[in-house]
Amino acid sequence: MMRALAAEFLKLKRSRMPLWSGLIVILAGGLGLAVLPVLSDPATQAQIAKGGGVFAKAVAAGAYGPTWENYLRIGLQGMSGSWGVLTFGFVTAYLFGREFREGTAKTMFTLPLRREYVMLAKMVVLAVWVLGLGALSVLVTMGTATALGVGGFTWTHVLTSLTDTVAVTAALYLTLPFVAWFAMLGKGYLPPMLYSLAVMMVSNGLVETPISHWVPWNIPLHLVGASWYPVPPSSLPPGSWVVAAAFFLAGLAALMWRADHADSAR
Amino acid sequence: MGEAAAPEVVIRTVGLTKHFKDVKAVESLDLTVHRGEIYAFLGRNGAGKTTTIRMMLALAKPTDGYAEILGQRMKPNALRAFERIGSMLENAGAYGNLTVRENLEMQRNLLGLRRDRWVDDVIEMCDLGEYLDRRASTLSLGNRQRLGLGRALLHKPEILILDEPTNGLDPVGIADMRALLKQLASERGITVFLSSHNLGEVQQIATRIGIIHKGRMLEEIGYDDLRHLNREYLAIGVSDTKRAVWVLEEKCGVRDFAVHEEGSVRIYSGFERAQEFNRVLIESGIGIISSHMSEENLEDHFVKLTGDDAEGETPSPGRRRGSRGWRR
Repeated sequence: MMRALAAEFLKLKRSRMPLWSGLIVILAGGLGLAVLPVLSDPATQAQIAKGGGVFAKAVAAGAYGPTWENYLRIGLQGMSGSWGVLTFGFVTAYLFGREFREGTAKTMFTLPLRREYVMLAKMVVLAVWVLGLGALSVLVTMGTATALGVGGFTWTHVLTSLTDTVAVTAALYLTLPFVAWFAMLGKGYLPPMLYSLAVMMVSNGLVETPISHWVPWNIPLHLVGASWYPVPPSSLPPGSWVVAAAFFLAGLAALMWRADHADSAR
Repeated sequence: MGEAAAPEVVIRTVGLTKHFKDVKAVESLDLTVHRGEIYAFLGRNGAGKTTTIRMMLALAKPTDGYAEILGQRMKPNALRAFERIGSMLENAGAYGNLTVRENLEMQRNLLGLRRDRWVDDVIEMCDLGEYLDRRASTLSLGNRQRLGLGRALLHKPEILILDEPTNGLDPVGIADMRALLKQLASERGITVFLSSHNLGEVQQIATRIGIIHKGRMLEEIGYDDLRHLNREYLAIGVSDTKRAVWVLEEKCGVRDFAVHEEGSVRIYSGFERAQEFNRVLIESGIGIISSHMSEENLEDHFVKLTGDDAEGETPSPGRRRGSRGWRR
């Protein structure tokens, strides 16, 4: 298992994907938060309120006020509700799909090494990667807030944000084995990327419905809320986590089964 | 004096079958490879060679039948067998962002091997020395094949399974590969199983040949046996094939002949009458373009077996499709 793990980390050497995924986080987080001062301008807020819709509700709730608390919360909400599902999905697609794109799957599966170990090693690398992106997101938020001279900094807010980031990242991670499964099934990048896009759209559409707490991709969003719907942060029923865990285990089982039984190489 | 022990069977497929919906890619294929052989698995493009190899390596699940290597039934996680098999499937993949050295090192680590002299030997054998610090993504197809072979050899396998190993190699590279495979078989006792549609290549190295066509094994034959099967013939290049056939049959009484391709007639017996055949043909107003003795080779045998009814490419360059004609 350790040999597989070391190999999986080595495969990322000089790879541009970690850089690209970091760039997405910086752009999505930084640019999104940079517009908050504009949104907090009374004249703009009045216009938004007049326009109605989800942003008007958020403005009415005071979600866009330029405070450290709001910045950290909205930064995290961006990850849980939009770019997280997509970016983490793309990272998963890369980790699992590249073996087929680069023609290395057949070598990987003819090694005297259990295929499950290879899959597990990839899942470990994925966990480290998405946690790193989560941490980067917090740093980007803090950097943007500092650059814009936002007031109200306390370490308590930062610590809370870090804890929430770990929870959101973990909740999103639980949805990723099925993305990996799609990469194995489709033998490449496109099917898992399309799947990630589709689930993001569908789950966002279900956010304000009663079943949203049971939709695995919406669990992170309910953890920290979403200012733009607005969905308040809620304490999720334990059943939500059971669903998420079951979804993770089912995805993992499907992934292992695929690696073990199906025609696995092109 | 006791009988010599039969050579150990190291690869065996029994009723190996693979269907993709309605397409019968491989049908009840039985083959055996003995230790120390260079076994060439010959077939046209689309004959089922790669699918068979994928099933042998547990990369594809057979619809029926099974493959056994070194006594172990091949299925995913047949780890004991994989420890003793090196393989390279067509278009050897490599991690493009890593250098050749890193690709090899990673494979070595994955195999749990210590760095020893053998790794350097492999680098030298595969002629990878000057590319060690180049990223795999910048390698030509031929050099990627070398890298693939290098990876396959890292753990000193007993069996080497190669799918179209000379794909993308230049003529010198092909000759080097041939020499290397011969050397591995003779000096290190490695059993080589290679698929190919290149008859010339196979003819020069194989000790045993399996011919697959439309997913079925048509014949397994030792190369020495094949040589005995090959017949001598008199090849006459003529200006009018139809008329030449009539003249040979009616005026010379020749029965054992074949139209090899338009403008070429092969006569398989009565060579002492060669001058007479030529004279009668000329007297009958048929131009003689060439006339010489020759021997059937693997290509002829292959075409004889597979015919021209298959879809796909011709077995080798220089032979037109649908031109085999008929044989009496």
